[in-house]
Amino acid sequence: MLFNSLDFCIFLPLVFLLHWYLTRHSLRGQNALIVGASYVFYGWWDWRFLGLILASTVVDYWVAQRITASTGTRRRQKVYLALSIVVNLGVLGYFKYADFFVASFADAFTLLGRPFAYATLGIVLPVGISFYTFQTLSYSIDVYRGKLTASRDFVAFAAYVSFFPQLVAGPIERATRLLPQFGRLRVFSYEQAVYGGKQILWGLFKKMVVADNCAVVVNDIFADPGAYPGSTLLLAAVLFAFQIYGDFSGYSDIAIGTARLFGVELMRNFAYPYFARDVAEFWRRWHISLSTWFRDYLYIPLGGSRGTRVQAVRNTAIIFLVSGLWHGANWTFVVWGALHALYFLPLLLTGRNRRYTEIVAAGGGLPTWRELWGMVATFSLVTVAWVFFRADSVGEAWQYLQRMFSTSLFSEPVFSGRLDALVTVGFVLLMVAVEYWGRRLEVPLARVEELLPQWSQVVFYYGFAIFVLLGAGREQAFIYFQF
Amino acid sequence: MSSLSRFLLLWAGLAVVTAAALYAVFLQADGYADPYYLRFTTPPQRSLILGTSRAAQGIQPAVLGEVLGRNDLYNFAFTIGTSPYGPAYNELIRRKLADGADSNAVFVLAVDPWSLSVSCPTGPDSLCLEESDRFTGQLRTVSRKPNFDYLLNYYGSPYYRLLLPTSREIELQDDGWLQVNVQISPTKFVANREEKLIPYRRYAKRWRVSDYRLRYLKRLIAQLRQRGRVYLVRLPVDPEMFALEEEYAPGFSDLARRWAVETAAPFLDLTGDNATYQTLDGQHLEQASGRGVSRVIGEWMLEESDRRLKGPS
Repeated sequence: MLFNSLDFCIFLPLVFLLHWYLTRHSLRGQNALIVGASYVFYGWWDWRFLGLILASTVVDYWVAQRITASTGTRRRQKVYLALSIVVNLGVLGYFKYADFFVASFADAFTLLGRPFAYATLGIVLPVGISFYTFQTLSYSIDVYRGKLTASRDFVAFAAYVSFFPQLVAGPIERATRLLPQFGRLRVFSYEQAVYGGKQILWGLFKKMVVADNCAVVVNDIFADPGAYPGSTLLLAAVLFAFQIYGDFSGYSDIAIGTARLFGVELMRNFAYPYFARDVAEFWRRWHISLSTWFRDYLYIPLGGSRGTRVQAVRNTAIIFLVSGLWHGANWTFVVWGALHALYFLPLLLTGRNRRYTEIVAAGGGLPTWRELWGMVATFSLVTVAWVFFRADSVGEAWQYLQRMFSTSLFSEPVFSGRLDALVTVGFVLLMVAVEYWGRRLEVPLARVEELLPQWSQVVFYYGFAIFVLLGAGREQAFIYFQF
Repeated sequence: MSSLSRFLLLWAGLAVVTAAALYAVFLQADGYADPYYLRFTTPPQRSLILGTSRAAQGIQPAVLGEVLGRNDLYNFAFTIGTSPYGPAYNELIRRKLADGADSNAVFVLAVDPWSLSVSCPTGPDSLCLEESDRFTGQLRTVSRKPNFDYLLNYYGSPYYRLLLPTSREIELQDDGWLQVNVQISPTKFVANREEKLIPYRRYAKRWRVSDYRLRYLKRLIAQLRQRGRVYLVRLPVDPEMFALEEEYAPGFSDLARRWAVETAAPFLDLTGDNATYQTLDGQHLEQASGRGVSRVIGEWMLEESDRRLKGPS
């Protein structure tokens, strides 16, 4: 079920009413309802893969129990943790990477002059598998590390694994944060719910108005880049940067806002990454739940930035390459990750990777020229990397960039639907302006409340909802569903 | 009032306000909304003009009706991507036809190689019908105003375009005719034609004429004949486009003539007069030429009707 679908418009109020009227006095009832609703939400797309979520839930619930029960025998705990890792990564590997490895293996032989015929398995990738397997895996690891005791409430644990707002595209939550919230009765908070509603609205604007309208231009141009001059390709690359941001951060906002309606706080996933002044800051602001996951469960165990320079470079390279592969089974994602590693390493090696921890111009006003330059340069580097992310193959991305950086870069952008594209650029600028203005808030739109008297705020938000509805582009699936 | 009730009131208010706003905008949708919408808002029809965008733009029901002395003609032709002949289009047509036994209707079916082709080079044709996933194969409500089913699921632009259309040059008329009000210079025409030929050259390499689609065309003719007379026409196109079509499907008109005999539906081939008519882009007739073509078709239909009444001489 998509957040921006009519089905969800009916589903959400129904679950909300049941949650706060039918089960408001029973924690077990609330959790059971969340699990039931989450399974319906997921099953709406394909019920056959519900078994995978259930299996992942059962395995990690049992593994954690066994790890806790084996306190004092570290070796046995290790075996149970290994079981969790093998099952979770095995399922992920099979569904996500089996075909990729078969094809890459065959391609490698072809390159060596020994081509052979092969057939891929044609495996369908279950939506959100990369998200929920990482979430369950982190639970077992945290229990193993002693950060958490194993849950004794299966329904609460199942709610943690399958919580529908963040089930298919994150934020990837940590058990230490989310699980305790399913361990206590949730009480309705008007302020929290209203704030959630505002966040959903802003998320819908980013997804339906910005991302979906960008997609119309981007899809046409990326489908046949050879037909367009460099200036048009540059426009499409920039619009894709905003499409993927609007799409994914919009989804995260809707997820976090929806969770708030049920009294659950999810972690922040985006913190205005396009205002980052260098790539290191970008990665502290983009897909935070994944970056911190890799930091905590891979980078630090590998040694992080401690040790020799060679080790630091190796660890950084591993993190970015794995992050690339996490996004998809294609060399384009590997190159995307490698590019980011290349952008990041100079900052790490010169000790400048933690230069910017506060949001730009945190005290208010405009950025300095130096900060502005940093933002433009970072955005440009990130946009070049997005071309690999968006293209179907590394060769296509390379040709795209070659054409983009040709002399035709300075010609007039030519493509059909320029008037619509101009409106889309207007939507993008509106989003950027509002986000800059409200950059110190989690929901930037809420800053408008400083300007409006209380009675007119409802009118403003209703008006903004109508604006979103009328400005929404053709419905597109969320990009991150495929990961 | 409890905080939960207050929140629900806020939520209900939002639902009512946005639904009302959307409804008000939907009511404004007219012939400028897109090249299809209005056809799904009119009542069920008796006599239809069918085919792809060539017919949608080129055959004017008002002119045809004037020649034939009838006012029940309705243009229900869409595009090559949405209304090639096949099961989905047949079903859509069935939904649009008025109920009741009637044998005096007329149906004009425009045919050309593309409207009877599939885009897959191999494989079963039945798995290669792209229109099945579009409104042609999905839309259940075809005669309601406003048509929520269409606007919510198949309208391809942001809804603000219903109030502020991208262009006022293209307008779908109440009789289903797609009126395009543009004047083009010879240079612009050549550019348009070149642009239009690019995808068709690609189609010519990949597509193929489909027996499956032809079967459904024949089935459609048989069904429509129960309601009245069926006429097949091949509309004129620019000589360059015609040359491409002849390369793609040589002797298509001869084949159509044969089908006409098989199905007892008279066939008029206007590609012999390609040079007489002007198109906007190589395949869509400009208004004056469309008027002329519609008149010619009307007169030919009258002749055919007279011939039928007189019987074989």
